[in-house]
Amino acid sequence: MNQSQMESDFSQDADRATEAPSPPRQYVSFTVGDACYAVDIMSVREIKGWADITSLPNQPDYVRGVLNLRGAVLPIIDLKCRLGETMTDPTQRHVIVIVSINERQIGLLVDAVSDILIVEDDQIKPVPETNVKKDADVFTGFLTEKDQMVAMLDLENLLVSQIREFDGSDIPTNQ
Amino acid sequence: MNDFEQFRQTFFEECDELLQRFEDVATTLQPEGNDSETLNELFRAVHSIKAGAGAFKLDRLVVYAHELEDFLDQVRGDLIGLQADGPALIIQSGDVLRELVENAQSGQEAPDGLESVTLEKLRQLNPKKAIEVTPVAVVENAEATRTSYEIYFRPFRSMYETANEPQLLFEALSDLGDINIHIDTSKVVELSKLDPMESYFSWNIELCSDCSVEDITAVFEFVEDDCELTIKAKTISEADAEEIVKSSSVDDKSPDGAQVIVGKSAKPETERAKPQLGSIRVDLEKVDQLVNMVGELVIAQAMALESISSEIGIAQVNQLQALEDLTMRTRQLQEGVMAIRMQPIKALFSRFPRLVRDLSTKLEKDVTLILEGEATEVDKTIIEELSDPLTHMIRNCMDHGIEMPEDRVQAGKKAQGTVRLSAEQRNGRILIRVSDDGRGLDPDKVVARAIQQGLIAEGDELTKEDIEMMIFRPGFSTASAVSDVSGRGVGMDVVRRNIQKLGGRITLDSKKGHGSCFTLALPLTLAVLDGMLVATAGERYVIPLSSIVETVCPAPSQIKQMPDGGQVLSLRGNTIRLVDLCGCMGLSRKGLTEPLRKLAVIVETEFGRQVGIVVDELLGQQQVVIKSLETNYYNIPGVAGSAILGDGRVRLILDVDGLVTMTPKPSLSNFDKGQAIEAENQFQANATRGQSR
Amino acid sequence: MLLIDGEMEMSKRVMVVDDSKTMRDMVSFTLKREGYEVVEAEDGIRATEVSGVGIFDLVITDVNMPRKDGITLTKELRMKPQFRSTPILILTTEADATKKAAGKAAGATGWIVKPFDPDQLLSVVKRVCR
Repeated sequence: MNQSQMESDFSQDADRATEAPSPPRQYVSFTVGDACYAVDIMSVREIKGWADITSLPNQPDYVRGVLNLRGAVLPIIDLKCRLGETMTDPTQRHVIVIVSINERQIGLLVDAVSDILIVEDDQIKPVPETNVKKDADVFTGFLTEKDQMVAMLDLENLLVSQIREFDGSDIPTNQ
Repeated sequence: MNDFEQFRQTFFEECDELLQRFEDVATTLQPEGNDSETLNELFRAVHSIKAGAGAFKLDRLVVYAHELEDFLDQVRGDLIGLQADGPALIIQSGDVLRELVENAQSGQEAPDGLESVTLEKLRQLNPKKAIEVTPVAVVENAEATRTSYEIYFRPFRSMYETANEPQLLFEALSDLGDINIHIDTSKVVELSKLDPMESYFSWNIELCSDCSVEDITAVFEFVEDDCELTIKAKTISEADAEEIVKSSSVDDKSPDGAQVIVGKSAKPETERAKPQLGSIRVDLEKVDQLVNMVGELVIAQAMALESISSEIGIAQVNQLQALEDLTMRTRQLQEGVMAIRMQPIKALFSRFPRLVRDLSTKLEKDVTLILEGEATEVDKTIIEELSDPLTHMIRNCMDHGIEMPEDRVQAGKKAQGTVRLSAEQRNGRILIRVSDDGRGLDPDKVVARAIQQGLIAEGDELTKEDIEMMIFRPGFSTASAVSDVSGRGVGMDVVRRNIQKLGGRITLDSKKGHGSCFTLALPLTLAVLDGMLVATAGERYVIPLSSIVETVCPAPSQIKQMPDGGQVLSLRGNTIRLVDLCGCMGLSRKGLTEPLRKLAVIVETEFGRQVGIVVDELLGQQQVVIKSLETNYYNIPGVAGSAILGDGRVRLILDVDGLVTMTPKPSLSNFDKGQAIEAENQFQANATRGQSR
Repeated sequence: MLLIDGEMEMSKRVMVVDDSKTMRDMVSFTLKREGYEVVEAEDGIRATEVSGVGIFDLVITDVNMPRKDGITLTKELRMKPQFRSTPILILTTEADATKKAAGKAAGATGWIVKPFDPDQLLSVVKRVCR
């Protein structure tokens, strides 16, 4: 499929991302490097240990490749790399969080899963303006849990940005 | 109705079956003494078509089908007798119905008066006037004034016997406006005398709404015979208090007298004149799911086998045998399941005799069509996808291939031309051939045309195959004028693309003056791919077997370096461009030893060009289950999909055409960066020109 | 067919009986979109087989079908205890009194006139089934 097709598909998905939240929601939190992130538990399909990944040619670095999950072929995204830091050096102890976004299943490579958080909407604070290190659209907010700041991930935007980057001619060098 | 548009195709497929059934049954009709089941079948066929046509708002079809249905209803109800020409008339009415359906399907307007003659004849046999379809009259309130209604509702026991629920009716009423409900329990008797099946309640309901009385009675439509219902209306202004009393006075006696069961649903099981073949209709989706599940089973079994077989030694003969048995049975299951989707290709071929007949007349040529191998079974999708390409090819044969009778005779052939359409299964593939004994390709004309279109240069050497492949180039046509028979713009390149999308190939064999033969080679099944597993720079990939022409291990002397950094292979006098798979896939050879002699897998691309994909090793043939990358990711250039192999690993299936147009990154170990960029630019320039020299 | 008896499901189960696949597809589609669980049968005989396997909250049946028609089916279902209070809707193509009366006489709860659009179908369903 060509790029503009992909963009329009995904921007539609992104538009649906904002919803009016109501009762407390559950989130799965996990660590990536020194930071802590969380995603809505409704998106999480399962947690899997690190397994053999088949690399995909000419994709951005953070697309580690694809994985066989009981017969389904899923892409695995290195979350650390995707958020602008170094690539993960995966070991058996690393974990893949399988999430479902708009009928696609994708695996997020993270260091470890921490906890399941039950969060009221008013506990979530908006992303501060000063946080320049990370890509602000990728987060829906953040909260403080036991002195640790947890950033809530907007999965759809995480991938929409990916599409914009993915342009046939803009292939990052491998080595 | 947009919601239902997706079912259009199903509807027309069903119409096809129903019309076929109608025709088959109609031919067995007698002027009298027809079996009631026969008549019922005719009625039901038209009835179903009418219902669906109504849903898709195909008015003309509905009107015709309605009259025909009505006629057949009366015939089966013994109210009309078929006379001597009755059967023929019914057959004819079926033909007209078919034409109307076909027109509806194609969106064309059928010729005026197509159905009038038939309808007239039907009416003549029908002593009663045809019942017109009267749409339910919708009575609107003249002005939407707010009215206050008082409704008295007392259901009889018969209402509960038909599972109607007062609460649901009240909910429906509340949709009309503001409502207040008061229950009257005064008629409830003491417990010892209570009959649980009897109805003791009644209700008084106040409804404030701008709806009409008809809207209210519509809510009670189903139960109007089973209750007492009174509606009084007062407009809010109270200036004129209108009293509309509507009551249904029928007591709770079941209306046995009104038992007019339309049509004879006599014996549920009847002896049929024609034996029904043992078959059932199955949702294609269910079959696909089943095919997928079996595909997974095959993978799982292969994985299990692999993990176990490494542990087992020759000594455990029994276990080995059990494993082999399991493998064989799994394969058999897979074949069996794949076979469910298979249908005789006759379904595809059946439309062509008529096409050839029609074209013969139109073109004033004498042509006969010979069909062979109609019983050959192919995957259902192939039947669907091949319909257009084959139609196009047969039109081509008739239009450009077969000569006019006089010309044929002059050339020493018989005046009647032959078009042959055949299908056979061979070596796990389906081979379909479309051939004619017409004038064949004129190589000189083809070459001239190709030069004219800039596809080749003067003085280029072309083999017979090269010339035959020319016609698959986009826009290529040797016809000086595009006739309306073969159509404009639908070239053989589109046909070829469609065949390739199915995983197949098409080739042409033609001899000037003698005729042409197109051969389509298609895979037997579509979810499963025969692939060749290859390895390069430590990674493995699958190349579809159908694209592979041959594999060679070229001697260094056969490989020539080009100034742009690319390589070509000299093979039996042909120059074949080499594509470095390692480079295209962006792999690095750092730390890996390069094999002494690499292999080139010669594949055929979209345009019939041959290209060699350079790999390190061949690992053997594998049948794999195709998993699309698009399900969870996106299409990647150079990759057709993915496959899960026996070891559980995912391997990418290469898209040969895509691969060949990609700009490979030259291996940085061989050039310095400056040269690499230079080479890359050159390569890109060449790739866009679509040539390599 | 995977019908789990005795399980308390929140969604309603509907039996759709029609020999026209197009009709079945359209009705199923509309109902499933509203959260109903749909079981299809292509004629009265199949419907009878299916009826014995689970609990249904609604039956929608065509009248004209081979092997066993909708009226006969309705009568037979009404004689089964578990269908005595199940709403049964028949599909008719005319606003014709005789056909509706026949249906009522057989015990049908109501009818739906073909052709219908999704909203019309759902509004009738709402009137007879929660």
